[in-house]
Amino acid sequence: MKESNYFIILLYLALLSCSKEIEIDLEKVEPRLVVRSEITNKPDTVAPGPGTIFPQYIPAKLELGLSSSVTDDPTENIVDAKVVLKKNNFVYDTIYYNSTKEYYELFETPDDLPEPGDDLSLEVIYNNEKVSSSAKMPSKVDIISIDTSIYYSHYIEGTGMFSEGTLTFQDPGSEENYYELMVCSSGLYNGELNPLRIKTDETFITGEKHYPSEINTNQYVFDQKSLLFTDKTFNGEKKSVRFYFIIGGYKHSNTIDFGHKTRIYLLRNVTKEYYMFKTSKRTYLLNSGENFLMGASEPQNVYTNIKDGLGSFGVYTHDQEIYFFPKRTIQL
Amino acid sequence: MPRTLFISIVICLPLSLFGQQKIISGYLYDKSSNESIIEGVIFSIPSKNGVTTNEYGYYSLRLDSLDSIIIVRAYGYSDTMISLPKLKRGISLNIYLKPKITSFEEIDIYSGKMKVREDEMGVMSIPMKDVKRMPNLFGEVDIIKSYQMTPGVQSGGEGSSDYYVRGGGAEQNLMLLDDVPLYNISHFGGFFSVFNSDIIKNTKLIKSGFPSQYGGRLSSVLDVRSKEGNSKELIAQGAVGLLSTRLAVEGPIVKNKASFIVSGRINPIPVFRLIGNGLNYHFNDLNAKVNWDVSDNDKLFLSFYRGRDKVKDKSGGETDNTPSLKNTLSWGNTMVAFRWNHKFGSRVFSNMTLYNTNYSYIEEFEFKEDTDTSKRNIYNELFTGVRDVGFKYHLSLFLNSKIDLNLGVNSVFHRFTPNDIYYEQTGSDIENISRSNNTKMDALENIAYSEINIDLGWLSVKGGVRYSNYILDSLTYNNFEPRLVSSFNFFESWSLKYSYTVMNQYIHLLAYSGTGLPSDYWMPTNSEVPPSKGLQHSIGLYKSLNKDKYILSLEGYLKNTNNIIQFKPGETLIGQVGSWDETVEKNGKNRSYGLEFMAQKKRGDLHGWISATYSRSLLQFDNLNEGRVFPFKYDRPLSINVVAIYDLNDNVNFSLTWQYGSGYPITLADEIYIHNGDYIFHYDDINNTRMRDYHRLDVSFNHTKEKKWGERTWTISIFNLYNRKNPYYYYYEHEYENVSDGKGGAEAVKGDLKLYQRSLFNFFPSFSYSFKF
Repeated sequence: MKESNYFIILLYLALLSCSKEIEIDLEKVEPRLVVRSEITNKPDTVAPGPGTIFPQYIPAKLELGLSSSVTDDPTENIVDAKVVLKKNNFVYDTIYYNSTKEYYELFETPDDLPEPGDDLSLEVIYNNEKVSSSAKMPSKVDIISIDTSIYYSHYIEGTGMFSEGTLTFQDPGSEENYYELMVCSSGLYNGELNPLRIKTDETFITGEKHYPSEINTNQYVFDQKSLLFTDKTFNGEKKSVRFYFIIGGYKHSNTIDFGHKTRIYLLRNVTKEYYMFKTSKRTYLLNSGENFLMGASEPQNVYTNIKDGLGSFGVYTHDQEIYFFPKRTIQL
Repeated sequence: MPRTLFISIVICLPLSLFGQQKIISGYLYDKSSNESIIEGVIFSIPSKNGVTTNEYGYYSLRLDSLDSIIIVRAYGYSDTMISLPKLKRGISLNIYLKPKITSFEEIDIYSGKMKVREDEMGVMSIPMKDVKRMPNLFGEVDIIKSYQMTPGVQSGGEGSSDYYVRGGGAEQNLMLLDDVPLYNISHFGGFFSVFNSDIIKNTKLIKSGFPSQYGGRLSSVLDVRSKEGNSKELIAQGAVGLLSTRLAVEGPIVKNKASFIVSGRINPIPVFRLIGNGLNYHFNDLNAKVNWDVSDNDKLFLSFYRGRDKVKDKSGGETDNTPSLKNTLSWGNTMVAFRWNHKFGSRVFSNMTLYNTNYSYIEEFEFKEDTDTSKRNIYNELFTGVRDVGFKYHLSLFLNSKIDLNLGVNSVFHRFTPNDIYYEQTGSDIENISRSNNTKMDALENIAYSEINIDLGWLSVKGGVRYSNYILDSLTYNNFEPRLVSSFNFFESWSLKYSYTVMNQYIHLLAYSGTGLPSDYWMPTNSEVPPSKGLQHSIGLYKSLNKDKYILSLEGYLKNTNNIIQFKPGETLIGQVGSWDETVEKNGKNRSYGLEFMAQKKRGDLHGWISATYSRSLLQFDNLNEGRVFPFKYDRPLSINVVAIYDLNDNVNFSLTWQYGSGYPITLADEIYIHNGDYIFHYDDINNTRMRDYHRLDVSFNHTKEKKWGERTWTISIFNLYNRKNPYYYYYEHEYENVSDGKGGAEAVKGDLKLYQRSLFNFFPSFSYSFKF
């Protein structure tokens, strides 16, 4: 054996780090309620026009879970809690689990949904434990236009095909605004929105730490279902955001068949707390997969606006436009 | 007014104390190489006057009329007795000492001034000879690892050359190579430092009682002085080790007048690639120095250092249709310094330094895809660094046997590049984008200092003040930093010392706290991020036994630091388009305190030390941990170190080091929940758990043999002799169990979540071969 081979073997032995399970006395934590909740305004009623259909109602719902010590199993769904919802400091309703819909329905009818500026507060009581949160509905920011003209001018990335769109809106200059932009597939039958994977090249979004990209994480295929951004670089200006969203899988054939599709474009003006929760959760998920050799990140908690609990009481206003794209076959 | 008066007194009073004394002054040299000797002692027995040579080997000794013999001694050299000619008022006398192989022999003659009575505290200086004999990892001799064995100094993790002094961050250590700051001292992912043992003459680590000439960092000063080169004969030395191979050549340019030394290191074996993890890691460094004795009064030096580490990680691109990803990191320092020593008569010594030091860190990311359907190129480069151009002028005035005065001015021009970003994307189906972000900022730091050393025998006092002025655009900071070290000497061999130090730091370091490769971003003080300020009280009791053969010390300290910064959780500068100061938590406070005990055996065949430290370092940020105090990442309440070096004879020696430390704190999640299908860990407090205690025994054996062609030394080191599995980091992972799927097969089912410990280096022998001819 050559002398250099001995060196390599020795080096390998040294660098071959080892792992072993260890026992550590971690204190058991008291389980805490985990809130998953979203409330938004009633969508505008718009007259059906070319390419558009009726607006999509977004139910105001709340789901509850229970945390646990790390070595135990957390509970995903709690169904026997009591929820007290207040609107503008008056009790709106006491709510129990709706086993048909499988969530706590905060506003049963769209007409009761809050308006921009309304104060909302939530109190959840479960097994003598109580958590609470409050928020103010942000102002509504309307979509001025959406350029969908290049819907079929797709590009292929990996196994996915992406389409392009550009959404334009007027940012209110008098306040800090936090936005979430989504494209969803139709949820007309089950009342649910199905957000599609979405990306952008806009540097005011891609430069943020929570934006998954080839640069800041190895997980650049991170399943991002919305774009989150603030108006700090365009406060008070009319702004256009270009984005790309997935429209299907690429099957390596010479033709691509686009079926009939309904796409719902949403612009949400969210509370700062909602934005902090979502961005911190996204950053957390991005960092949790980091390779230690290339620099593990600072440990971080996901933000919460639930007093004595975890999760998010998410409140936002939104504007939406719904487009129908007829089927088409494209030769590559 | 009182401040001005104080400064005037400090500067002017001693000038009145020039007396009509007889002075000898000059340099102390190694007889075999003409290398100047630092910390040599020159003393007269009748008058009991004695001095120590400074960092340039210079001394100035006042003698009484009866003094006719002086004795000169230095570590590693034979004691020399010199009869003086009839003294005139002042004579110049360069002294040459003969090296000896063994350590100090027992001597009866004593200088009259014990080590413990010197007006310094919190100072450690480990002779290079001992550093080379201590056990090492991969055969790499490293002064930083040696200092990590001293009280109050913690390592940055297993095998790391990062160090943390008295609870301060790594950025709070001033690291000087030939009086010039280096901003990053890590090679090879931090496994060893940039200080090449072949070129180092002397090192000193100061933890408290900082002399006024030092500043700009809060926690410590590591002063490394390089050799000047043998001006008598040409010598080569080198070593072959597992991680690096090095070669140094030194010799005369003009015999006995001018010399040079050049030393370089490379890692010839691409270790990470060999173990198959895709990383390609290389480093190299080069030290060079030229020294010219222009006259008896003037010496010129030109020093150069350049070191670079580069890591490449490439994946994909195996075929034309697969995209390729390439990450490249590179970092390093470049330093060039010109120095001029000048003697003004026998009482005044001056040094002028002009320097340029540059640290840069570059991250490159490249994504390439060239398939039948898509063509994309994405390139991103992040450049961060700092360049200093500086001027220093230092004057030492040896007024009489009891009073010295140090004066100086510094001026440093900093060019900071916090996070320059260049981004470019081109492709068939994406928009062509090219953008760059220029973040360069210039700042000027001006310093003036003055310090007086008064030695009355039973009491010595070193008092000074340092004034610093920092200018960035229209922003200006001015700070006065009082310094005091007092030593009350009693019962001949006891000493009680107190020091008080105020320090300001105008540059900040941002680094990810993970265990990964270096990611050092040096940031300037600006209007949003004020300078960090540190205040330290230190008190110590010292006892010398058997004429400094043994020294016992007990030092306590209390240190408060404010305006420190660190990344906000989850923040990164990568891709950051806003101002860098938005990514950091500001106005952090650090409170650290501790008690350090040390027993040293300084002479004899068996020498070394035992130390024990109790210390705490606690941090507080308004927006972190809900404002609650949490332990610093390298907070180690208890640490114990044992260092023993045994010289069996002139050719063979053994050494042993053992260290014990409480486990470092880590942030461990204690709670878990599910949100929209995602499992999320949650922790209550930052650094809420401690890893297991750390302990390790290393041994080393050195065998030197004279050969016809020169001298060779085999070194065998065993790291972690009893194979302790020390924690490097912890992580959670679910265990999986194979469960029958009912169809004759098996499926992996997620089981319990368990906590695992990763250990890096277990029992590991290493060898190195060094030579000199």
